[in-house]
Amino acid sequence: MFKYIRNRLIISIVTLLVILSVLFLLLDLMPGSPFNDEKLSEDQKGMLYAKYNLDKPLHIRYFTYMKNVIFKGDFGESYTIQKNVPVSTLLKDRLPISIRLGIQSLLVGALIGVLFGSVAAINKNSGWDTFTTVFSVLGISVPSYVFALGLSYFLGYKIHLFPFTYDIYKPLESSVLPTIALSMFVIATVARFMRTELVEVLGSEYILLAEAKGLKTRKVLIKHSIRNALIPVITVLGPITVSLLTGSLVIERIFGIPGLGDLLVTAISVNDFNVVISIAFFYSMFYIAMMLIIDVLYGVIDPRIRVAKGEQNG
Amino acid sequence: MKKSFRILALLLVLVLASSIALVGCGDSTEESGKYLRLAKDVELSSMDQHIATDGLAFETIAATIEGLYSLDAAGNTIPAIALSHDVSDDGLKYTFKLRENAKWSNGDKVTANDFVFSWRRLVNPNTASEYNFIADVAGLKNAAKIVDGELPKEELGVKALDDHTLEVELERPTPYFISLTAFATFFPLNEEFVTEKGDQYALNPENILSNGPFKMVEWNKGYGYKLNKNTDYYDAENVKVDGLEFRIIKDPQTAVLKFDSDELDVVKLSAELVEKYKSDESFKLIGAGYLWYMSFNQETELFKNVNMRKAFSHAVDKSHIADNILNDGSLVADFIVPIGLATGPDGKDFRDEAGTYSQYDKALALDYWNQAKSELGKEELEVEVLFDDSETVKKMAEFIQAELETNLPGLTVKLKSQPKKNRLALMRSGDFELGLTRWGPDYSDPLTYLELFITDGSSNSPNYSSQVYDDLVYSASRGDLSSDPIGRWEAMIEAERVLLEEDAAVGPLYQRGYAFLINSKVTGIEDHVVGTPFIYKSVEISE
Repeated sequence: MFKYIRNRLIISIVTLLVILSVLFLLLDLMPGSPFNDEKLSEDQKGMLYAKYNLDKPLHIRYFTYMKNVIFKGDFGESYTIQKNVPVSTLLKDRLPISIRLGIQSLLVGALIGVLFGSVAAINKNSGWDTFTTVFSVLGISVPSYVFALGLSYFLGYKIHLFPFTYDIYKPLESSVLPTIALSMFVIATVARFMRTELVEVLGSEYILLAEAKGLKTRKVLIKHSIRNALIPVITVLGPITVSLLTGSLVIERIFGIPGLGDLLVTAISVNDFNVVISIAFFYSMFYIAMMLIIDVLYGVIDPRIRVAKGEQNG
Repeated sequence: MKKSFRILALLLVLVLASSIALVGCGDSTEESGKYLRLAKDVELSSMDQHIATDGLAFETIAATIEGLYSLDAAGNTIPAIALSHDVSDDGLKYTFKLRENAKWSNGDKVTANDFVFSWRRLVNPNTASEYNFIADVAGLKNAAKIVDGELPKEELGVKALDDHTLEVELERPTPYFISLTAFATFFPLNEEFVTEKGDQYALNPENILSNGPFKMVEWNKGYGYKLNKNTDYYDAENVKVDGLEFRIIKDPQTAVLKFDSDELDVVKLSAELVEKYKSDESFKLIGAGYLWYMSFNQETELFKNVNMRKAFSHAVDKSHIADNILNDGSLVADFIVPIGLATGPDGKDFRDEAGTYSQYDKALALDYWNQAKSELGKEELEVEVLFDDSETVKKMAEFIQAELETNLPGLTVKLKSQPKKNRLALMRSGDFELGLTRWGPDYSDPLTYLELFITDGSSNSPNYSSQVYDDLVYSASRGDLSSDPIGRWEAMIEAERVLLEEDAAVGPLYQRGYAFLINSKVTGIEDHVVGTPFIYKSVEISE
């Protein structure tokens, strides 16, 4: 198991370095420059290029950049959004907010989703089942910003249940609405998968056998059915994480959350290269880490996978 | 089955209960005192006056630091750190007498050397200030040469005669020099403090000093920032609020909801929201200096022809753009020097004395169009309009397309939308036919617009070139008329006429305005077309 994780870590680091290089080269191909003010003369632009070493040839800039990132963890400075501020400072305040929001939505969504899905499967063809199906269809097809607008208007503005803009002094209270808005999609997807899987598992022969052996219903459900049904659900959490990251762009705008998504969009539109690279890099890192965690979780839930992978890599 | 359901129900209750319990905590940081709460749709890009380039940065810096002079509500210069000044007869030497009771927020006195240090820092090529050209615009001796690295920064025409006397030498008389000293770039800096902080200067509230009405106490990047009243300010007794709270909210709808919930006092409206709030008592229209115009690239076959340019400049019903597309207080512009930018020697606004030129006139446009067509020997023509890919600009471009095609029969208009950065790059390299672009003023003199279009000017996007125009502008800026206030004023009025009436070098569209919601309890927010967009020193909030 440790060998497996170690190997996966090495591959992850190599992947990240490749991603970083590709990002650097791609951004260099973007048209325009970070200095887009109509007032800048060519001389002044030259001066700014020199100041930020952008006048050097590509390969020199590339190696300097990689060296700084790898050995010093220095992702450079912001050119326009927060002039001359190191990107790390820029991200330091926003990263925890984005991560927190992402994790909250993922946890809340996954828990409620599993709950909904299980109840629906156990009470197949009941009213509860129909409700879950309708909810899933809505949750998947309606974009999260529609929920966001609705929540902020009705629960926030109209009845003052929760604040409808983010407040750094009340991070928990003010992140309730964005968390709900973001987790709708998670709940819907997870519930749908959970229901389908559990229905299948409940109808299988080994469950019949377990019941025939005289095991208690609760034990059959928790130990044999839900646990087995969870495997495909966990698989789907990876892609969900990605859509949480991209979905948060709009949510951040609506709730005024100083997170990464909005920063990325702004940075791209003004060519603030270093900011773009570091956020994209962070997203990749987050995604790769999620995948790793999910693969490890497989092993925990299903010992067969653990053994197989271990042999394969051993 | 029943039992399992009970467990699930229990779980659900637990999840809900814990989330509500967690929500309950932390509700103690309610703001006390009188704070003006403002929403802004961009981030504060810098608090360093030599790095800053946008309006929000300038207004925030101006709330914390004062220069030699400041502006009153009407835009007139009023004494700030300087009590008075003398000008030599030739208009080349200014001697400022500084007040002795001005202090920085660390207790140091504000001295003449603070200005010397700051101005040298502005022109120092190592600072790479995007606004360093303004030192030459102001006429400061040797400014241009120092920026180009030909002279050391110590050669700049500014020196401290003693702690409270500042002497400034100019290369040529600049009638608007005093008004420039109210602009953030020319504010003083405490040498010891700034040098000590090095490249960390102004990156967080601890690394900023104030000598003005407010000082920064919090800055949460991407979220907002807070300024408190500066009790060390020499005129603190006239600051009537406890501070300013800026909150960055990029979604205008959210900002308005916050305004309606009385969580904000000042909110800018987007065009869609104007209709809904037009009759609200908090609704205010505020003029801005930005002027949008059609740039006719005169290096193209089409726009080499002066009648073609005239046809275009008369063919668009601009009132539709201002009143329907923007609907936010923007004004039709039949001129290039904006309203409220500059007052002449007789105290009147430039626009009151100058004429209007490129009015919407279908019949006139058609005449010019037919003339141009016969001169070019073509019946069918095509033109490409280049513009930014933002929502309102796109609507404007589509409207211009419809107007041109209707009013100039035989013309086909193609639209080319690009991100702003690409649009600028294309216009800079002359790779366009007709571009929709804008310009904001840097100082309160018509030259800030007129100098754009001198031959080979760095922002002369239409590539306009006229000896008559160049001579007029030169005489008013650096030539024989620069020390003759009345003569130069007339020369500038004539220059604008040549530019628009005779040559139709560009087609002005509108002067930008903004629609705001401002809490009716709030008074004293002073808006300005140029330099510092808003000055908050005199803000009052009634009970």
